[in-house]
Amino acid sequence: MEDAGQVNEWFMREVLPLEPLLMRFFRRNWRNESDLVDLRQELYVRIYESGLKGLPSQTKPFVFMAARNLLINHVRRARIVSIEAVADLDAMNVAVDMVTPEREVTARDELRQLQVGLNNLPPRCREVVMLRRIEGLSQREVAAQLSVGEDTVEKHMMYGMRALINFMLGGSGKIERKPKGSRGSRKHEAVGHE
Amino acid sequence: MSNAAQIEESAVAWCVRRERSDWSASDQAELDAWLTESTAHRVAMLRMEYGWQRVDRMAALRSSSLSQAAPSYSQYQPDSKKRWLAMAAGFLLVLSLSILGAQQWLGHGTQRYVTMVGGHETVPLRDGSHVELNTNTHLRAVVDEKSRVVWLDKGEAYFEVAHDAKRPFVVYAGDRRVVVLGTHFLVRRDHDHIEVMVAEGRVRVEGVDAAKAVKSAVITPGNMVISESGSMMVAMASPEKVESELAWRRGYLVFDRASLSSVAEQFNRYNEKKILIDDPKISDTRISGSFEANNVDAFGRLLQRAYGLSVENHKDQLWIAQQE
Repeated sequence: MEDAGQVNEWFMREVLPLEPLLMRFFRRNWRNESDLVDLRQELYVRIYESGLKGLPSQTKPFVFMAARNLLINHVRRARIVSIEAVADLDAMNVAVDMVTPEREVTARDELRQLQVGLNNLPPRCREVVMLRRIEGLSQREVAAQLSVGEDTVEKHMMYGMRALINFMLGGSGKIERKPKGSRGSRKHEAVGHE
Repeated sequence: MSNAAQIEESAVAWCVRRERSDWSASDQAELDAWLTESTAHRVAMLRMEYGWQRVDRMAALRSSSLSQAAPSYSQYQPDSKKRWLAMAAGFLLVLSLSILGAQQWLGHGTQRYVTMVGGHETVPLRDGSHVELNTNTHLRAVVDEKSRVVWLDKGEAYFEVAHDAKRPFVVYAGDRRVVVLGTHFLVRRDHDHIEVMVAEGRVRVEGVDAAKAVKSAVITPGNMVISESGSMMVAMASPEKVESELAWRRGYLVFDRASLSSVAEQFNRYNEKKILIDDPKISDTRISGSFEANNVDAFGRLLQRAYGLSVENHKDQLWIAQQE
């Protein structure tokens, strides 16, 4: 049995950095994009719980083997197994072996990614995130500067950080929201602009 | 919304809530309860924290490119005005610093603190802050009604800064300036190599020379800044790492698979009696453990017994070599 603090640290240090590769693997091998968030969560739960029992000596092969097994289980559970799915399963063997070591992401690349992620946010939301995270202002200071309530600042932070994190970790940077009537049809309004 | 997306939403809400100034022990208990409810909660939270740290780490490196490239920034007037004001304030600060510098020659206002090799001392400042000086450290401080300024001329110091929004607390180390936003942190200086680590709160590290417009970095626990001859890097520093870096406050040095040569370097900071490694082949030997910083002889005995190395005592030196 591993100590939870150690497993947390391992998870953050070794598993989460694999997310871009992992999502690429899922996208290649799974048709339905809308399942991806759930697949990812299910996989992370399995990996974490197995980590509690004992950390693998090599994280990467372990993670991709688990990802592959997860997809196989889902295909088996599905009532209709299409020829395509089976064909993909065979291809997955290859896919696992072909996962190349991630190119070293330089700080500059990451910075550029952050820039793009920020630009994807609606203006007000971006402003809040920049004041909080980059200028280092407190929530109260941001609220005062923009003459809005602290709860509005919090709301923008939630939308903004979530979108930014998903973007930086290899997702789309779009936020899922419950559709609200006919509003929010413009591209940016879907991203948490109140 | 899928179940996973809902959990993700809760996780990010926790991250935001946790930064409120009135975050309390009962809030923490509520979060802990949520985390233990299911592994799905736990992993979603870890993922958000990881992303949060990455965004912060990158945001910290706000090079000029970052703010320039953001379009539709015209509505960002209040901030650019603020920035201009900050620049003006910086200029005033420089002015007042040169006055302070002059005062120092007259012997007013500046307090000097020096520790010898092996020394370790905690000094209170007039504003209620505390500075803990490690071995072989030279530091000057000016604390008055308007400002709080410290120069770390060499060595290492740990700061516990009394909160005072009106008087920023600024530490100068070589070409870097650490602006404190209320916190506990460590600055180490070896010529132009500077390291900053935060135990609590957040600080901003920036270049002293405004003309050079070097990047500035805001760091929080979990991050550290390493600066060397003009360039600056933000790296991760786990709580364990920060803890072991601060072990000197208890009189200890803590190593985790450090090379013998770097261990020797650390010991030599604290002792007049220097460790000399006579054989390049052993300088890469890995050392783990915690040792009394001032007891170089005990460390020598350990090398002899546990590592089977030959240790020779000379007057002011300890020679380490491979056993014949």
